[in-house]
Amino acid sequence: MFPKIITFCCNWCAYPGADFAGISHFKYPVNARIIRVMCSGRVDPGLVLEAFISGADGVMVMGCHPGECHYEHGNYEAERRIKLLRYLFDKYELGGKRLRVEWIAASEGRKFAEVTADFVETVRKIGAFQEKAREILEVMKDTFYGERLRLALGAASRALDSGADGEKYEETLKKIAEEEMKKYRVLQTLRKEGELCVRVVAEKLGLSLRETFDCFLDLKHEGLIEEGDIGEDRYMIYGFVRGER
Amino acid sequence: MGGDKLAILICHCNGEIDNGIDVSELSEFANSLSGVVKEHEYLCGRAGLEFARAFLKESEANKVVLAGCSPRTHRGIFLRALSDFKGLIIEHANIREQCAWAHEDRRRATEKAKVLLRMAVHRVLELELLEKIKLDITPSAIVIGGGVAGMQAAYDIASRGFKVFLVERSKELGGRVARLSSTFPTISCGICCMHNCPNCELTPKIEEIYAAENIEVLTSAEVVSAKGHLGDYKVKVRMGEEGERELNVGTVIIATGSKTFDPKRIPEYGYDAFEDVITAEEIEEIYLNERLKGGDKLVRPSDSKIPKRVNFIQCVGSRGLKPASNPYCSITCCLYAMGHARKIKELYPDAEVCIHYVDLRSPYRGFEEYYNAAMDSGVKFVRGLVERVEKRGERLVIVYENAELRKMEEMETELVVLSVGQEPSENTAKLSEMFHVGRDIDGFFMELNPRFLVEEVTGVYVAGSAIGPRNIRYAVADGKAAAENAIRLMEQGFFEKEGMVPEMDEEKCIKCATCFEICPFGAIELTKEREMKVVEEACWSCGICAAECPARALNLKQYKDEQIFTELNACLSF
Repeated sequence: MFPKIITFCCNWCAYPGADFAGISHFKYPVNARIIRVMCSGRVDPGLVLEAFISGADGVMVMGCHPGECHYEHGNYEAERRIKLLRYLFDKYELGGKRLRVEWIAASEGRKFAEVTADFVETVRKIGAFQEKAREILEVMKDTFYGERLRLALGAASRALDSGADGEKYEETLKKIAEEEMKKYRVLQTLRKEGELCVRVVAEKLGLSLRETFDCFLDLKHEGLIEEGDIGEDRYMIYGFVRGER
Repeated sequence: MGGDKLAILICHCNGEIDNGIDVSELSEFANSLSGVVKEHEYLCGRAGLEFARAFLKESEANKVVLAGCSPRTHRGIFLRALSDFKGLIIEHANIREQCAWAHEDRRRATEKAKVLLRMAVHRVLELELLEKIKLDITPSAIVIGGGVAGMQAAYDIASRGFKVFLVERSKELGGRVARLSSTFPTISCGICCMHNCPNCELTPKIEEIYAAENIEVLTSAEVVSAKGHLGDYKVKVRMGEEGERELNVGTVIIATGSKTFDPKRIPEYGYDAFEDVITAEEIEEIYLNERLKGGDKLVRPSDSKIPKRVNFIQCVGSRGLKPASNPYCSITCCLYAMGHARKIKELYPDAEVCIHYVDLRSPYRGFEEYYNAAMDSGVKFVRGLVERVEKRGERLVIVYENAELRKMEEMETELVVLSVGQEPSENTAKLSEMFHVGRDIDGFFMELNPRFLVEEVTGVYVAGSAIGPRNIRYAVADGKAAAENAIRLMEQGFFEKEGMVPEMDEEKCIKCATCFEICPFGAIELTKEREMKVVEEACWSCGICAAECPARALNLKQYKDEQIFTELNACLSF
């Protein structure tokens, strides 16, 4: 069946909203399968990426309307993360529209049915993922499971509560996410191809020597790769995934 | 998991599910999964529950998937009916609301039902039995707000033998009702004075509150902070010069009332500009002041003369009639305006009294009669919106629409009374954060859905106009209901909640304190050694911490990453 849609619904608003669509017999396509969580704030982007990697074509996260979250700010957390993920989806040409956050109240059965139907159509139009998508999704998963981006995301309420500029914060998040994507792409390449030097990896990924070198350094600091042989210059430093030589 | 015995029960819901999907095909599919399967016509009925019990006993299952209706509506029924099956884990496949009823195509709906069933089966096999968390309930209560709702709640709780701290921000108990010169339709004094006059409002009696053995009245006191969780709250109260005091209570009742709409937000009514445009609250003050001087008398502020013409403007700040208004009806204003109008006619039969309204609402036994009596007494009712109040020379003029005649009219007047509506009081936001009580779209505390009460006990209840505009008797009834909820909890003495709480992998924890910062309920403690500790009692099971933890050291039981992956895989990889 195409498209396969996973809908994460919070226990308090969206899930009963979906029930209400059924109770009122508002029909929607069978493509959407609901996974219940207590709060939309439980939805880790890693879970969303896991869904895509397992074969989903679109993922929706549904929570309570702003200000009505049963857990005060869980829905905002969900929105912030999915927004960032959406940005990366667009940047890497995976189709940001495959991801959506929606607020559904328990009484909004009609909205649930309409939004679901519309989303299924949207994803149908985007079509299936391309072959190479899986690799990017894997890198993204590493990125969102990585400590650095999670620390930055987790600092949101602290930062915003203490008056940080929301837009600036978002830009910073994007920047960190992109840097991390680069880093994990390098890691993925080394995982796939074994020991390579900076110069080769840079060429393969279309990155500059300098940024690839920085990725090597970061990966080494985090203990994810080890340093191998050294050639004529620093861009000839070889790296390999830790413990794999 | 090894050693699990799985049972699958498929419900037809009296044919409801058969209408949307082919249940026998689903049943066949269920047989291909790893458990024993049975169908029943109507599982949540008495016979159905007996059938389920017999089946579970016979199959010795420790895990069961109920394929049928939504867990949101029916889980409670099964939990109760199967509560003596210790160690049984129940999971649901929602094939009614989210499948049979939701899709046009029977064929495809049946296929989806299979997927839903497989997801539930895979999920239940991953679930572990949760240990219940038992919370002791401290047998004392704090009632915040000493108006009629709060006083009633305090009185009821105390009379059942529990200690009550009644905290009131102002110097006196009684709240807004104590500031009313008279209440309608009984025309009695606002707050009961112990004289037990026959037409006294049914409000609690201040002196009885002071005299009650179990009530400690703290006036000029304000709640500044609260810590803790259901059954054990530590509430800090600031009490003027006496400094701060920490109260340890098991239950909390919020009865902080409302405030009246500030008519400056509708400048065309001239409240700011003209002395003789007053609010309904101020007319009460005038009466009360005059009463101190010896008798009922209405004088206008500018020159202390008795006004010969009084115009009331209804719905000031209510029902969305002006851009600055709130969208809702404030319930009480129609009646109090009619009451004041009648009173003026009684005191000064020659005075002209006019009420400008858009719709009159007097929906209670006795109220409609009261309205008729007001008309009979000569009060004029003019339908239509008031456009503005202005001054021409020394004269006050009111310009209004007469909807019956479909034209604008104007009238000279000597006193304008604005029937202001009710709004959330200033401290609503603060208290809402402190005690985790949600607020609705208008900013009032959220009314709890009684259906959620069982699964969602917080020990914090809201009463009176803190929930929304109330008249006196509704506020008092609210106070009684809130007290009853608190009493039930305290009489039981403990509460058991599901152990759906995060587990912490201390080896992975990088001590960044993200969870501590992000938890809305203070359920993560930061110890002096800078270790994170989960305070299970305070946890509300949202799982935000698990999604946020930078080191992925936290996982919410029942919604662990692996458990959700299993469900995802069961859904996607077939």
